Amino acid sequence: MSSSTKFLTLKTCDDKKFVLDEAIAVRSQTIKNMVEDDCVSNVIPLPNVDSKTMTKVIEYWKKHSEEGISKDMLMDFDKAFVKVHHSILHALILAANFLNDKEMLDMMCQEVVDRIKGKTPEEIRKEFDIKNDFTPEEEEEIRKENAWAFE
Amino acid sequence: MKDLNFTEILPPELITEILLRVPVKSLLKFRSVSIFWLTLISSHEFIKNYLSLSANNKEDTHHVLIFCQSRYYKGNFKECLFRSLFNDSVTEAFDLQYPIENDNKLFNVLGSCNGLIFLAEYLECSLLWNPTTRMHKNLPDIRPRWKKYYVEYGFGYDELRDDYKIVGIFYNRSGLDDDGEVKIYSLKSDSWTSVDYIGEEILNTSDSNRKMRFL
Repeated sequence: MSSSTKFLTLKTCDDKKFVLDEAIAVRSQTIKNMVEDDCVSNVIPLPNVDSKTMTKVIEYWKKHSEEGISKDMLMDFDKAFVKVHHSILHALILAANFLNDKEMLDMMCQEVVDRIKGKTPEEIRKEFDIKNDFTPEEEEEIRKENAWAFE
Repeated sequence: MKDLNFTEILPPELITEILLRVPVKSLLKFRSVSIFWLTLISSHEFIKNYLSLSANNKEDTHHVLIFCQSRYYKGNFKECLFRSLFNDSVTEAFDLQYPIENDNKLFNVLGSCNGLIFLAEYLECSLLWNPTTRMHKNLPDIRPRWKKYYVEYGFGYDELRDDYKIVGIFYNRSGLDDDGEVKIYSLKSDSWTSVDYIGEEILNTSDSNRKMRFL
């Protein structure tokens, strides 16, 4: 490893520390801005990300920073990477958003879309933990407006 | 017990981020999820962002609208994917519900812009139709100065005012004079207003961005 490699220490909300090559960590625009503005002292706190999620994020970053990796290999990796429980997927979306990694956020959002697009409103409420705040009459009315979409 | 770390609820901006990528048919279904989702999906800002995201989509998802007319004066619309015309040996075209029930009226497609289709039956009853959401809107009556007239239409998007507009130029059909009348319909105000006729043909909406332009 060359002597010029700089390492950053990231600290998640559950007080776990991750030491990471700066060149990889700056995939996060949030971290990149901090490094560029010279706001980095010893440890970068990530108050919105827990260690389980951060482990996954770093796994993704490392794979996508590998030298000489082929497009096909990355696609296979991505495909397997998004196959997680929906709660983990949501946590990864929150993390990608906080870390400001647009590529990762796009991919995770697209995965959610692929999972939900065929679902009924009831299933969506369950998935996102949403309370139905329509009266039955209101709901019926809205459904009628686009009845063909429910066919 | 649930692992609290992993039952995160997504904030509205991330729900938006996801819904912007959902196909229209699913979006229409999701309007009945909750009041918040309905408000979000129906909001002007969301629709604008959705349009710009799908217009810039790298995958070519442009659609072709096919108007079929039978001998018995009945029209029918079908649609297919633009790319399938070139890439597939057999192109499947799907039926689209005709925007209005009345079969006696035959509509002509007079313009399209951002997925909206401007249809008019000769001289009367025109409408804007969104084949993707299958919604349509009848336009208010136009009353030109003359009983008998020719008309030319142009349909486009006015970026400055964020409004869809139709320009109609009416010419007197019975008289010999070269007089004309110009009316502009604005979707926002849902009304026609008259503007001065300056002679000559002034309208051209065929520019590549489908933005309205006066020559």
